[in-house]
Amino acid sequence: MAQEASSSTSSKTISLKTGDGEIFEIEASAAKQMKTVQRLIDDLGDDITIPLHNVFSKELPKIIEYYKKDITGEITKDFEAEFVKDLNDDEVKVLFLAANYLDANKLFEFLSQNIADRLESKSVEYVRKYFGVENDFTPEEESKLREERAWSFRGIKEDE
Amino acid sequence: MCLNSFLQIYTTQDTLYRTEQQQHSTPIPATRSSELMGIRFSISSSQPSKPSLGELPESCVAVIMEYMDPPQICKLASLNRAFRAASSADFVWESKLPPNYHLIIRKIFDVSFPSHLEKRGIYSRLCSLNTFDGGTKKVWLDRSMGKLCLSISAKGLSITYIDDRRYWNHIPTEESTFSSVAYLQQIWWFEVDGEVEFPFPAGTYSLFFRIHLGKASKRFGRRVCNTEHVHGWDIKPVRFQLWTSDGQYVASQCFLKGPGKWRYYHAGDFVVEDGNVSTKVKFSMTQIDCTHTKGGLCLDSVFVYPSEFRKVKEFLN
Repeated sequence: MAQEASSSTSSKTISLKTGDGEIFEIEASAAKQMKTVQRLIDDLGDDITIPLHNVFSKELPKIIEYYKKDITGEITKDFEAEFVKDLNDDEVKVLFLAANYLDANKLFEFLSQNIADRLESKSVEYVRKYFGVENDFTPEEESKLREERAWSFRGIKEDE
Repeated sequence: MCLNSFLQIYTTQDTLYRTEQQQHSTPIPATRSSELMGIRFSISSSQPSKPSLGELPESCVAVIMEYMDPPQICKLASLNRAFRAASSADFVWESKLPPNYHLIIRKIFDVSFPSHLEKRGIYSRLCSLNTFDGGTKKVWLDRSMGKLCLSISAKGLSITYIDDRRYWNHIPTEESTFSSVAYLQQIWWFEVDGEVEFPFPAGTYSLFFRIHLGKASKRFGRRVCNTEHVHGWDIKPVRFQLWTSDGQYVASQCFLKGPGKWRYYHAGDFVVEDGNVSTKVKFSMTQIDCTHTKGGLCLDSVFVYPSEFRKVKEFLN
């Protein structure tokens, strides 16, 4: 029988188990910020170890670190800059995917901004490699696209 | 009961991933599949070897695009179908449009503005040089920043003695967003006044006069500049003044110099607090010291740019 989530969440911790079998503790109030986790808690109860099949031991500690700061209201621009400073592009991607899976909105938005910043003024080919996407347009769609782009910013003011 | 919802959550999340994976030919990571209650879902047993964002739903791509600038968004629309779809998401473009874009549309377009245009289309329309007020003014959004810019042609300004052809003439040009500029041969009393009333989005704006000392023309396809009539500008400075309907006032003066090139002379700044009302701005440029004549000047137009452009756009420095 599912238990109601404990009403005194201040000191309660939740156990999270990653896809590669490691267990991490997180404060219940931090877990609340990740809607996927909260839904699982609501259904399974907060005494059970919550399984997160698509999140792994490499990234979960970083996510927990972020939300630890969030619940104490300590997320500053400096903290955010530090947080992503040493992450390479792949690591940011993994975190982004995990934040999406966990429905962790604040981290998700922050990482979206960071990815957008990393891709700023990068070429289409670079972005294609970064996202790992194949061009799936038919030739007709491609030419329609080219037409659209030609029309989309006509008559604009060029800088001198 | 709880087992059902447990399954629901897992199938929802994994279905989301599986659906995207099926659309692309990228390999699905090693999985241990289970069938339970007739619902098939996958559980990854090991970390994927390379993270791929290619399986991201459109809505996630669109969130990233929300933080990109419009030219980049348009570039990425050519990546693949998912990106194309994400790049046309209304919320992405809504965030680029000025908050008061409805008012702007109402001011510069008549009833012919299509009402069912998606936000990207609206953005695109507003980025072109939109003429209004009988052809004397143009307004546009800067394409990469979505900020509003405005220009007023020489014909839209009140130039003292403009009808006296001994002093002023309108001459055709290719060097303006308008088709002609006002050329001053020689005068004692130099005065140019103007005003504009427009729903500027909230922010700080800088007003400039675009001026050229000397008369430019094309000879055998090359640009030639005749400066023989340029005189008087080094004797006394010109004076700029700016007023707004809510009581702001700025005055400054400077010497005009550097013949042969179009220059932007900064007349002053004004602040718009509320984009939901029209702001009325009056401005003037004068040199009325009648102890000397001045001349040889081309006046193109007055520009209003967001003040932050002064740091970013070289031509404004």
